[in-house]
Amino acid sequence: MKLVLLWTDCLFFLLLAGIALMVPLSGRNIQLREQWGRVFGSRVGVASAMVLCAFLVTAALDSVHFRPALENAGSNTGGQIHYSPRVLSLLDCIFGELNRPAEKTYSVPFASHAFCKENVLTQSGDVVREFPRLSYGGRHLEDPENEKLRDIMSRTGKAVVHAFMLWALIAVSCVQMLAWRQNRSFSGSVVRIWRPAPAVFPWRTVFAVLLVIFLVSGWLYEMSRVYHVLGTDKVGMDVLFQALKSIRTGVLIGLLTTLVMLPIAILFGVSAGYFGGWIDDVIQYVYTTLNSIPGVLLIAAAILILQVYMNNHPELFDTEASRSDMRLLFLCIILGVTSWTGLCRMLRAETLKLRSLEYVDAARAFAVRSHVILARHILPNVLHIVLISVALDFSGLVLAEAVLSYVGVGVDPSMNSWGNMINSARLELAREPVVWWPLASAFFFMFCLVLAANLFADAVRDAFDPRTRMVK
Amino acid sequence: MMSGPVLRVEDLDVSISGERILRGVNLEIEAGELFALVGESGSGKSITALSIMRLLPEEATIDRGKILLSGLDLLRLPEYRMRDVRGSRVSMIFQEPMSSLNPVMTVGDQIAEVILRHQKAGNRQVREMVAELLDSVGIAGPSERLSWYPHQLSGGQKQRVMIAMALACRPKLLVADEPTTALDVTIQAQVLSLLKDIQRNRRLAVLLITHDLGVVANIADRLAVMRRGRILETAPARTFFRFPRHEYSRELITTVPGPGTYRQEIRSKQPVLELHDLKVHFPVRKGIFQRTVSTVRAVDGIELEVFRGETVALVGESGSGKSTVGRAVLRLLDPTGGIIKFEGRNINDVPARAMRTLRKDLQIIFQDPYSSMNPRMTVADIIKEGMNSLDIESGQKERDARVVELMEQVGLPPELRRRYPHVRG
Amino acid sequence: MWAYICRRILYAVPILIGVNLLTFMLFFLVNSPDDMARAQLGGKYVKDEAIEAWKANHGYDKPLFFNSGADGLDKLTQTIFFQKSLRLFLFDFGISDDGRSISRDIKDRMWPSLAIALPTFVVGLMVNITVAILIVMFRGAVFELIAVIGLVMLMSISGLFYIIVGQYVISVLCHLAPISGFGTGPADSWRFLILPVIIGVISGIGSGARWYRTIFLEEIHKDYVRTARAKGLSEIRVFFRHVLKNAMLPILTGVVVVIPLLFLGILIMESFFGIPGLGSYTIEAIESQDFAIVRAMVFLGSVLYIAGLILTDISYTRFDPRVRLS
Repeated sequence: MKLVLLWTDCLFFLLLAGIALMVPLSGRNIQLREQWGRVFGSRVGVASAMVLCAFLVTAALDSVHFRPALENAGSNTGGQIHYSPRVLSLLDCIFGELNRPAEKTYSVPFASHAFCKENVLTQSGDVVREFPRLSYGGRHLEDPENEKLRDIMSRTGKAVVHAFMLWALIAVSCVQMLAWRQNRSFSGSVVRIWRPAPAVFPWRTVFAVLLVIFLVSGWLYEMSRVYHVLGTDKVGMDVLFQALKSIRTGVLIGLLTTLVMLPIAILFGVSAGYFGGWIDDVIQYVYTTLNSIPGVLLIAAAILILQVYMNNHPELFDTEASRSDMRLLFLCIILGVTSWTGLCRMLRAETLKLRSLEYVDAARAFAVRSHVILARHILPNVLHIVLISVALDFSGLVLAEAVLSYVGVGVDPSMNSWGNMINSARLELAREPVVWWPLASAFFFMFCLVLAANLFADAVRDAFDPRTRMVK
Repeated sequence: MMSGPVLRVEDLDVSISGERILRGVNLEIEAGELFALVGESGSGKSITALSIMRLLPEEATIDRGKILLSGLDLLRLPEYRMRDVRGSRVSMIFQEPMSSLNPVMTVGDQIAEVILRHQKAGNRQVREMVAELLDSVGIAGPSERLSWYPHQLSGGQKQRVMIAMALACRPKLLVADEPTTALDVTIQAQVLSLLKDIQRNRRLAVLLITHDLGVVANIADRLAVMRRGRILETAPARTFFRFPRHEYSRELITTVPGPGTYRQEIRSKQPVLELHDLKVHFPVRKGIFQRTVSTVRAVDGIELEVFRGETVALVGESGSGKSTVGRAVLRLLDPTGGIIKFEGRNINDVPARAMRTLRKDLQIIFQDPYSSMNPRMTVADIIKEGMNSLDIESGQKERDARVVELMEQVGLPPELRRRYPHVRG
Repeated sequence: MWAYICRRILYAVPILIGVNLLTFMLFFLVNSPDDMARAQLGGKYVKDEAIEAWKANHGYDKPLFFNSGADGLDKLTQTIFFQKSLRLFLFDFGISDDGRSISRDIKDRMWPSLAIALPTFVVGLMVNITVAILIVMFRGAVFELIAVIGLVMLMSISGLFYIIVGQYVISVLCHLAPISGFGTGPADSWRFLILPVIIGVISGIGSGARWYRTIFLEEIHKDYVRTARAKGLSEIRVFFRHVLKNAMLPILTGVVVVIPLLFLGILIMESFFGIPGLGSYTIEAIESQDFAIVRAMVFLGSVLYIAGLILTDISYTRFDPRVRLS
């Protein structure tokens, strides 16, 4: 087995590490702690954050890539191990066989038979047109018609029991910890959690959401061992697996774009506002110019150009994965370049306002140097704008991916993404009978991520924006 | 005619989001009386006023009490009947004339709106009434000003317009919530005497809310002192200033600054600061190419000497250039012309780098405590910032010790140094 | 006032030059015309003569910035930059890679695009503002909570969902409007516009109405609103006479931000509903990698955006006396 580090993986883990580092740092600052406390103190905030975390974990699992060793090749070339050209991730391992087409073509969710009739050779040698059995979905069943329902029920029961036990273990240990920390009896803690005072951390919501996440993921996993929970698509790929793989693409586009955009926006916005003069003029000119080009077209143009470049230099990309990865990274960069202008303009306006405040004058009267004033007086006071806009942009970027893929300038067509799923499934509603599951799954997963992101962004805005706080 | 008080507030309790703001407030105002409600900010004065108008913020609730306007219980009126009362029988003037007028409506329209709401009148008639009102509050050329927008008026004029608006339907009671706080001292006096005249001429009952006892001293008939949601004492103005009954009232009266309290006679021969013909001009740009067409002469030829151990006060209306002088002296602004001498040394052309060392000896205190402290730094960090930057005291430990010392010197408990400026309240 | 407008228009010129330079660099410096020709003709194994012929045919056989082989002014004019990029300023878009006049195509396809974009924009604006007003008027009630949650859900749904499902439900299941296509004249085209416009409006409600709601909420907590209430005006009168008029300013600013999105909107709408407008034109160009058309559309898009900016500034003077009278 050989680890493969794709560019986007590196950046993604770097970003996660950065976030993990920020937590103790901001914990030391009383104000930040209070504001984040407000975000996670609201039920909506904490629930959406947990759902986002579930998505992040899936994306992280899908970002550990490796190339498995080829077994038979290793033995006859004298210790020289050959690696499969296919790049796998941990998520692929969890779902085992599902990472390649399991069936021939469409099948309905939980089906044991194919969706289309085929010519099948019976044992007597006749050719009959019928719905053939699937090679993966429900293959353990002797008589699917009668056994399936009971099988699904019993497996559901098993999954629920397992999920519940795991949840109970975590919940009990959490409550015990709380009880110790707050010097209360275990039952006293339970009562407090069950009937919380208004200003207490919403543990009840946390446990409820945790239970739901465990139940759903446990059930999906258990069922996907023997069924296609969300059916299969045109080439027989499991739809659930595709939708799960797409999480990484969506999350990465949202996060990496932010990573690209933030430094540009902060640097330009703050310095335009603070220094004024010709610096301000130049920066304003640059962002008005960039802003006036329709974003889609700029992205389209850039992607087209990348395509031409890649076609002319195929030697730079050794595997298909690294090729599509490059395109994803490039898409993030381009999206970042087109989307920093909005934040930059807001930061510039806010910095202009701050610059005229008296504490900046006071600092200047104390001969504090410009870069110190920027770091100490300006940046911390515009941070809320950065946070709010990052949170709000994330969902927009996830949605944009789908649209760009539809236009043909999104991620690589070979990459799993909701946009690609929708794009390839969009004519299926016109089929008779209707094939609805690939489309519905892609939309549903995307909806969950975007809704969670939007709700979280709202919670962040409510906690950090001085204006909304005033209104409330 | 109606006998008894125009306004009577009985045992009023108000809370905001569960927190009790007013506790058992009782007030009585007679017709033709100017009644002042005095207290520090946050004492519940404005909430009392808004309760009378029934314009409390959404999260506030009136828990108990009665508000009687000439015997009519306002708290029991349905909202649509209350609207008939607002603007016609009670009206209100707010603290911020700048933001209390609608910026996109003409002054005339805004006043006419009240009249049209409560009376039947034709267009021309209304115009005449509005012009008359503007005239009566001392706005010159009233018929031309009808079509002006608020941003074309000065602060004092805006507050006059607000008063005209409040008087439009001849109310019985006028509630004035800190009507002069946002205005310059000279204009304050004018607006106050206008209020007093109107009150006397129209036999109006006025509830004047203020934090400034100095404002009240000359014009109030009776006054009440309020603190933490309670009324501590109610008394006729004359007796109040001579025989305040409550401890807190006495405290308030002694803090009213009078002229001639501070004076020191330490003069040295050599002035610490000399300004000769100091000029600060700001360009006004106009036209397609933003050419400089004229300049605002914010400071134009100032001569000033400040001697060691001396406090020199620079007094003037806002916009007269006081602050600009201060900032120019510290070179936070570059002067257009003239000479600034500090300890005999000309500091006009001192380069920025050398200015750093000078800043040890030249410092400034700003007007607004809210905007002059970074809300994201602790008090200790704010105090230390200057020391760090100018290399005063050698190490962090010495600086920390100095912070404690300085805080004690200005009368702040040193425990506050780890707090943030705006939490302190 | 006129000086102000003139200045705004003059400001646009350097920005357009910037756009022009940027697109030129994007299209010609990253990939040489040789690369483009190769991509057009397919693959690596194209003969050099074929490439030269293609370049000559499309006018890419000149140097990029400076033609040392020509005389006088031609040194500058006989270049790709002058011929392909600067000409855009005269709205001379040249010919597409398959040899058609881009200007004529744009002229033909402009009307269907406008026929979708304008109604979507206007109806959408009205619907969004109405919804936002309703929510603000009923604030504090359960209705507000439900509506706000509803709006977040609406804006979390992908735009493609509205199109695909809308098309399926309205046209396939209910037969209320034709699925796709476009008529030959205005008389029989309007039927084809119903579906895209409805879907365009619905898909914008979530984010639009939420945006207007925050504007109204911010405005409603200002001091002048309290003054208006103190006059005894009813809540409805306060809202329509005072709040709405003041909220026009931030709304105007927001509307310009929407213009680029409108562009994206027609891009998707037109190709889904088979409407022969500029959007589907662009998509076809992207799919066939026709750089000449994409370049023209980039320029046109920027011009429209800048025109929108200028229009906003001018309408600001209409709504804000502080700007008008200064």
